[in-house]
Amino acid sequence: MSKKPLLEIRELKTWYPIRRGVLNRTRGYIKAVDGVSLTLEKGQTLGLVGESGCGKTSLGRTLAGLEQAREGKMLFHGEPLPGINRPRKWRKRIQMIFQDPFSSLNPRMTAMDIITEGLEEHGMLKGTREEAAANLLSQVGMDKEAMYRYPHEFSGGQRQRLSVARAISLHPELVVCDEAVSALDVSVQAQVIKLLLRLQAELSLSYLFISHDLAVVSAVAKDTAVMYLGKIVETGPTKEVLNNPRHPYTRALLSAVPRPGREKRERIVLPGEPPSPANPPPGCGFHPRCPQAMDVCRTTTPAGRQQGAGRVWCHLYG
Amino acid sequence: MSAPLVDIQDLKVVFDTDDGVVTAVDSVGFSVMENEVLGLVGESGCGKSVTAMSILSLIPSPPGRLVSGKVIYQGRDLLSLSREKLRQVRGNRISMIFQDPMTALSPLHRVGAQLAEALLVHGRAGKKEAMAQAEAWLGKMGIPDPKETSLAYPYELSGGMQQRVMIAMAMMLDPHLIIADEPTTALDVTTSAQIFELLSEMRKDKTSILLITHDLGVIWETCDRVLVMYAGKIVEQAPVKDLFNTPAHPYTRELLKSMPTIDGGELYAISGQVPSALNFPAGCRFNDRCPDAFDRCRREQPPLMDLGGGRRSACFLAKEFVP
Repeated sequence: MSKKPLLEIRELKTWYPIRRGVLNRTRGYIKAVDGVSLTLEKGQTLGLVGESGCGKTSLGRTLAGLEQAREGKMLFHGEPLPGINRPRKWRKRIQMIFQDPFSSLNPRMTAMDIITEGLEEHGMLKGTREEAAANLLSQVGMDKEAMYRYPHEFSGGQRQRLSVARAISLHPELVVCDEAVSALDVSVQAQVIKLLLRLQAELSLSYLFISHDLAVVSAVAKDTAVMYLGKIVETGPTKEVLNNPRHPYTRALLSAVPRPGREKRERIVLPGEPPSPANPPPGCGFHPRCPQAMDVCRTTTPAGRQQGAGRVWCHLYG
Repeated sequence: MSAPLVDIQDLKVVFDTDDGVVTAVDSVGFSVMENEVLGLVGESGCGKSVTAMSILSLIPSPPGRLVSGKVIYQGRDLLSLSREKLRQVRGNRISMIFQDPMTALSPLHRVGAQLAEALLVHGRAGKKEAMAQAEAWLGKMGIPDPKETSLAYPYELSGGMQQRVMIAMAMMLDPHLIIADEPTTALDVTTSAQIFELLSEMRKDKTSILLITHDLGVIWETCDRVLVMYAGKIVEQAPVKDLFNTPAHPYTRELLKSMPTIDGGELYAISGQVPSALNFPAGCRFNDRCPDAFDRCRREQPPLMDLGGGRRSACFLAKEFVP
């Protein structure tokens, strides 16, 4: 491939210091993102799945410039992407949609102010705010009368549409969707997913689609990465990852998802809970819960290996 | 499954708000059978939680008001019991698991003491015995090191562990019915798989479960029968397989179609929005979103009709949907 991918991250680490005591000394780190490498092509969607605390949100926030990476590289069109407090011209290129449409919109601003604030701030406002707001609202399928209302006057689905309007207002190239539809009801969720897909086609957007819901990811993402305890354990085309999961964690995750209409099958119930990212176990992070753990898993971190069209980080494929 | 355990009749609950009277639950009636898992599914605001809370008179009043309805359990109407009599049923014979364990547990008391209190209040055990039983139950819930955990405060436990404590609390008095309101919604998939394993274990002890959820996947996995609610009313009732194979109400059908599945495929979205409870459309409340709606649906409210085979549907066309 001659063209550089839209986004390439290599061995990215985002650690949060644990400070204790009167002197506020750093006593250790929460290794939220601990050596992640991923690639995202323009106009594509990469699904990032994992459970609470696996680091998927920290990864998204690091990309959006809301957290500072400790180590590793982020390349955007082959150029190094600045970290936190990045220059203004970089900020508009990567936007974010958050999970909770109740806390991510300022309750004291009207819809118009919320979705056009970025335009004003970046000096990209052409014409009046009303015109810009009407235009954005129509793009996300809302009535232009909505611009004079406040967030509390909207339903969850409509608020999430406002978040989408705000995110696309600056013509970003990449939108990080962090559990963007997880708080919505099924019927509303489907509407917002359709909206995201339509906008992607119209504006050739790329999405990093973070979700704990494998079914939602399969509806939007061509490729999927599965994250556990700060590390990617498996990546590949979504179809392949979901139909032919290779990593034992992916298998367990999939078996826990109800599949209506299918005969009920045995769930792989994982024992215990994910370990603390402040003190990850040696070797493979998944070994304490893995039904197929071997001796080598307890001592050596598995390297990524090509399997089919994807990659898997597991000693079973050594 | 045999006799009805709890029979809910013509339940109507309204809320007085500044904008007017909101009808949250409108003429809802159903039975929970002995030893079954009955699912109650619907989207936010459809009245499923209000229905569940009403069974134990847990609706705050004001603003809530019970307009009509009976909850018959062992020949008595729970809704007309005195506070004292009701307390003997609550937790004891019919218990509840709430969605958010962090707000349902007391943050100021150790979990072991909270569990033991339930036994003490209902006079099931003395103080020492209650603590011992509380620990034993934590162990049964698959909590490692129950002795240590019983001394922990809720904030020290993960969401999954907290929900196990809630389930232990609901189970330990050996109730006839557990009402579980979105018990795994706040949890991760692998954790909720653990919780459902637990709940299905409990079934073997002949406890009935009324499971309230918005998640059709969860319904498929755990329930025997299902009730579907829309805009304060039951629109369909069916055995779980029938509901998924031949939905007898357009809302159920559309809802099933709009569920994303792992198998991919084109996603479908129901048009429009759930109507406001202040301003339901005339006739069938689903008529403005229904692809099959015709004139009669806009004038008349369809009653919940019996279709045989344990199925009911509130649609004029129901008979055409079911072979």
